[in-house]
Amino acid sequence: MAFLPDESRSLPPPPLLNKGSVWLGFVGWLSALLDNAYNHRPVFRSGVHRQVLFATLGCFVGYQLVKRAEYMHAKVDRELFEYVRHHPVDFQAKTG
Amino acid sequence: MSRRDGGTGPSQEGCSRSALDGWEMGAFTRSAFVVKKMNNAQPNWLRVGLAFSTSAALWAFLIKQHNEDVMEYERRNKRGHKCTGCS
Repeated sequence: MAFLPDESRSLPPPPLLNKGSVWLGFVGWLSALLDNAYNHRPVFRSGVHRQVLFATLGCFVGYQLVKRAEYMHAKVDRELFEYVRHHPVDFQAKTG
Repeated sequence: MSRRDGGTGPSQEGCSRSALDGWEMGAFTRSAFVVKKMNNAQPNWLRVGLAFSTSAALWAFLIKQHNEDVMEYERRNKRGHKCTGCS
């Protein structure tokens, strides 16, 4: 199956900075800082291009993953509601 | 990483080296075949330029894709139609 099928575009797109993209962007930035630390460079002041690139990659991957996760959740919800709709006997509200 | 023994042996150096040699001689960069002394004082401007331009391109693509997604969602849902042809 495709990573993001066409019907996933019917869902409202997540905001650009959502918890997935922000968190993975932070993880990318942190890995650039760790790379500085392991190579005996000043942690924050060196390799700014590397920090920017890794953070950008993290945001990008995070955004795509969040879109995929929302699509999978919506798909499961749709199947669930379809099942409930087709089996009303099993889902009667309790009376009395 | 600043290890000089290929990573499989113990971390002690040969008996003729002092423990301070790694710090005095600086860090090394290595691939599987060559070891070069790193020079962090002079930036590799090509790599810096490539990193920044790649980041700019990625952000531009991401923002463009997000705006297209928003427009596509609004297009598909503006009439409130329930057809499955386009979704």
